[in-house]
Formats: sequence, structure tokens, C-alpha cells
Amino acid sequence: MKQLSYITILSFIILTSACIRNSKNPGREYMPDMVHSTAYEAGSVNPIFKDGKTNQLPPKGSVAQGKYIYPYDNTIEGYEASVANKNPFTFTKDEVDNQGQHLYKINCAICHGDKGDGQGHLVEIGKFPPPPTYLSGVLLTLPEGKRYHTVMYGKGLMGSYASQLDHRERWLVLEYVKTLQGDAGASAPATDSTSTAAK
Amino acid sequence: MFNSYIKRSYSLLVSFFLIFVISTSSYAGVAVPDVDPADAAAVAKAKTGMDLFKANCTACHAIDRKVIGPALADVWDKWDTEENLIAWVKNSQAVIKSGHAHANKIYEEYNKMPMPAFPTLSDEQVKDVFLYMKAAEKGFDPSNPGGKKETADAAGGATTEGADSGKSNTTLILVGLFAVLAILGAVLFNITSKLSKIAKVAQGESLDAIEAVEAASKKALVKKLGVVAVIIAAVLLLFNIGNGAINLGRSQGYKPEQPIRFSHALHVGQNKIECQYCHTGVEKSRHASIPGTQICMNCHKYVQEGPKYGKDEIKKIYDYSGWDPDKGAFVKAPKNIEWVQIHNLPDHVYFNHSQHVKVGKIECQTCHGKIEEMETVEQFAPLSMGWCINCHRETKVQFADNNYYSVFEKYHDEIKKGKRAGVTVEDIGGTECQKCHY
Ligand code: HEC
Repeated sequence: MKQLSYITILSFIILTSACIRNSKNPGREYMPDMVHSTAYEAGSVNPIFKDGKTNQLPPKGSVAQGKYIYPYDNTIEGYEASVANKNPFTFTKDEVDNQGQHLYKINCAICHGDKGDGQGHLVEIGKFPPPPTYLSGVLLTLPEGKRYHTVMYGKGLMGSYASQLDHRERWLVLEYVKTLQGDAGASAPATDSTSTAAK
Repeated sequence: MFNSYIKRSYSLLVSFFLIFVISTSSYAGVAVPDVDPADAAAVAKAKTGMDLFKANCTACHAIDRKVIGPALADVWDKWDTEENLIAWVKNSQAVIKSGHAHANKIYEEYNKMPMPAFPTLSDEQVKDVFLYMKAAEKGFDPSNPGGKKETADAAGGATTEGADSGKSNTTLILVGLFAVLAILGAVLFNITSKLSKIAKVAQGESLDAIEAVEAASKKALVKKLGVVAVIIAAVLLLFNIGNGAINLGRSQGYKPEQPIRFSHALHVGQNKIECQYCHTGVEKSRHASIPGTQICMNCHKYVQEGPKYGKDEIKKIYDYSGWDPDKGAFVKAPKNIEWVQIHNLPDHVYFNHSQHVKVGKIECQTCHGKIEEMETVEQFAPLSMGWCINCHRETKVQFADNNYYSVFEKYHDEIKKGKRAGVTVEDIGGTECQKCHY
């Protein structure tokens, strides 16, 4: 009888020690009211708003201080009209080479390739079709306003980067794209020689 | 110049059209020859076509499925003549304006989204592209005319998988071997003890006496074992209580199931997408931020099938974002994905991602572990205060080429004069209470 009780105690302890760490369970905590915020946190569910999110967009029609408003519509006409849009920033070479390259490597190189030849890693491993190269053809001389329009709204298979990059970052990364294109890119023309619609 | 080009091609088109109308009343279709793998010249042409196709067309077209534009495999029967199809490729708008019936039908079907003109391509080049399209339809790869399969990627995937299952196999074999040996040992022990008993009986000892001695020694052994068991139990119990107390409120190893089985091993490990591509806030704010579906859709408008779960998991993104893959448009309002939060820092601790990632240039993996190998994300670090403080004591701040720390002139001076090897986070106040608790 005695042995039996030893064995039960032992197996009980071994079992409980196995139970304490369960990867599906965050574990126990003491004083949970000091751990969990009573205020809503940025990513948490929120019963007060209709859509259930704490992160809210600004009310329709309001504009945050210093926020940029892009004046062209997400339409074919808007794309054509965006030719007139010009880079309002002057970046130093250092900014373009460092910050610009950093943004490009994160956001664009995966498809467009480190060199801009349309051979990014996703293309090389066959998961995404190659985008057109920056280094020749149409994109070489594409006006910067149209480039910005594409980064803003997306075009074809390329998505919009409006949520990932802000106004300044969009121009900065495009400035880096120009350095990839060398001399031709540096003078990305303002006049449109590549209109898609024949007039 | 461009305009004159268009006028020229326009009149050319009209004449083509007229010739077509006059000369043929039967529907011709576009006949493109198959590529004979043995014909080096044809293979070379198809290869040129492939390069052109990848440079100019794949952004919107695939052979076997609709992407932005229609699938190209069945284009041959829908068009009347090769001339018209070439004209369409070079300047689709002109063909539409000429009143070509099928051109207009396609244009309407795709919501009047114009296909870009390719005025720089020659007729010969467009024909090469057609040659490639026809070949690709049949599964022929002009850059590999022998048809030898050397997909490095598939092979790589297979070997890593093989290695994995190999590992678990060997442990299984070892455990099995051990069990067999243990059973064998027990059986042998039993046999020898029985044999020695028989031998003793044969020497004239009484069976009762032998068994009495045996029983006594057994009892003594059980008692000893009992004491050992109690000691082990006590140690384990103490260890469990201590460990449990330390781990209260810590969730190291927490690995919950998520609403979408998103794999970091696939997206970061294999596809090499940068962390910041999706976690856009990590360099700018306190939060690394969980991406919304629009970031998923940057790639998944095109990628509809994954290597592990097929279409199931990607379909969930479509449901959440309201995307209809057949129509190629967002048709419903997006819904929230309720991801299960894994890392939870107590409310009385302030932590800022941008301070660590942008200023401190700490790798994500330092705190999150080998995220690029995690199929399901788990909490790697204990997130305990001791863990934070240890790191602050040991980590050298990246002082060189880092404008953020230029105000620490004394330290910079000392480093220059060689008086100081480096500056730890503690040296600049990283272990002060109010740095994180306020
Ligand atoms: C998911 C892959 C992918 C990523 C990531 C990507 N692109 Fe693209 N990009 C494309 C594709 C595909 C096209 C061709 C779109 C078309 O013409 O239909 C394209 C086209 C472009 C164009 C030409 C647009 C035009 O008006 O013809 C520019 C400029 C461009 N991308 C810049 C960028 C920049 C800058 C980034 C990083 C912020 C980026 N891309 C990230 C796939 C991508």
C-alpha cells in the first residue's frame, strides 16, 4: 500500500511539472490588473467604435496637421494628369544613398531587384512574375509624377505603397530608383512621351 | 513622331482590316507553329520571345490564368489574323478605334482598361513572343530545351524536409532500440534468477528458505527505493514551485494558434521578405504594428496558392479583405483579423520598438528569436525585467556613425582618447527605473 502511495505522489508531481508549460497557454499571472492596460491599446479590440478597432482613421474630410493630400484621382485620367506632379523635396546625396536605399531594399527590391532589373528574389524563385525593368524601355524615361502615382495607388500587379511609405519616403525611394537608372533616370523627363492612350 | 507613327499604323490597320474583310469570309484564327526542341534557330527565337515576354508582359499576363489581363493560352482562336493580333500588341487602342469586334469586346470586358502600347517592338519581336507563348502553353521552356529538371528550389526544399524527418526518424529508432534492449535485459535477468534458484534447489537447499531470504531482501530494496523516490519527489516539487513562481506572468514559449496560419518560415525564411515590409511601424513608432490585409494583397492578388496549405489559408485573406479573385476586385467591406496577441508587456513598462530598431540598430531576432524558422510564432524571450536589464548592462551602444548619440560628448572624447572601449546602455542611463517605468 505504501509503495502505491509513493508511486502516485511521484507520478502526480511529474505530471504537474509537465502541465506547467503548455505552448497553447500564456501561463498564469499575478495581479493581472497591473499587467493589462485598462485603457485601450493601439492594436486592441474596441467595443466603443462601430468597426471594433482602436486604431481609427481620421474622420472623413479632416486632415491631420502637415499631412499631404495627393491631388490626382486613382483613375486612368488621374494617371495621365499626374505627369505634372513634381518632387517638392531636395534630398542630399547622402539621404538618397542611405535612407533611400534602405527604403528601396525593404519595400521594392523583393520584386524589382537590388539593381532595378526586375529580377528580385520573389521573381528568381518563381513566385512572382517579373515586373518591367527600370533600366531600359518605357520605365527609363517614365515621368516622375507617373512613378509617384503608381507608388501611391498601385498599378496592375503592383500594390499601393501609400500605407507603407509617407509622402517624403515615396519621393525619397523614387529618387533612389533614379540613381539606379544612372544618367537617364537623373533627368526623368516631365514631358510625356509614353502615353498609353493614342490620341 | 509618335503621332505620325500611330497614323501610319492606323492606316496600315485599316488596310489590313479591309483586306481581311474582302479576302476572307471564313474565320481564320492565328496559327503559330510549335517549337521543335531540336531546331536550334526556333529555340533561340522562342528564347528571345521569352525574354521579351518577361520584360514587357508578365506584369499583367500569364499564359494559363487571368491576372490583370486575360489568360493568353486561348488567344489564338479568338483572333482572326496574326496581323491584327500583332497590331493589337503594338498599339491596342488603335485596333479598338478601327472597330475590330473582338478588340472592342475585350476592351469592354476589362472595364476599358487600356493595355499599354509597345511601339518599340518590331513585328518580328512580337512574333517571337507568340512563339514563346505557344511553346510555354505546351510546357516547353526555351532556356532549357532538353527538358532537364534542375529546379534548385524544389531540390533545396526537399533536402531540408528530408533532414527534418530524418532527425525524428533516428530518435524514434533510438527509443525503439532502447525499449527492445530493456525488455531483453528484464527477460534475461528473470531467467538467470530462476536458473540460480533451480541450481540452489538442486544443491539441496530448501525452496522455502531461499524464498524467505529473497522476500527479505526485496523488502529492504523497496524501502530504499521508497526513500529515494521521496527525495526525488521533494526536489521536483520544490523545483516546480520555484519555477512556477518565477514564471508567473511570463509567457516564454507561448505559441497560440492564429486565425490565419501565416508562416514566417515561408515569408521571411524562404521568400526573404524584410520584416519592415509588413511591420511598417517598427522604425517609426512604439509599435511594430501588425499589417492590414492591404499589405498582404500587395502580393496575394497574384499569389493564390501556398506551398503548404494550398488555397485554404490565402482564401481566408480574401474573405477578410473582401477580395473576389475571380472578378479581380474588392467586392465586400473588409473585416478585422483578430490575431492572438503573443507578447504582452505589463502595463507599467514602457517599451519602444523604434528606439531599439532604428536608433539602437538591434536585430529583430535578438528579442524574437529565429523568426525566419518559425512556422507558428512563439514568444522567444522571457520578457522579464532581469532579461531587459541584463541586455542593457551588456550591450554596447552603437556610438559610431550614429547621430542620435552625438550629445554624449564626454564619452565620444574618451573613446577617441582610448580611455574607454565602449559605452553600454547602462552607461547612458539604461538601467534607471524611470527609463521604463513612469
Ligand atoms: C509585389 C512586387 C512589387 C513590389 C514590392 C514593387 N513593385 Fe513596382 N511594379 C511591380 C509590377 C508588377 C509593376 C508593373 C505594373 C504595370 O505596369 O502594370 C511595377 C511597376 C512599377 C513602376 C512603373 C509604374 C508605371 O507607371 O508604369 C514603378 C515606378 C515602380 N513599380 C516602383 C516601385 C517602387 C518605388 C516600389 C517600392 C516602394 C515598388 N515598385 C515595389 C511590382 C512590384
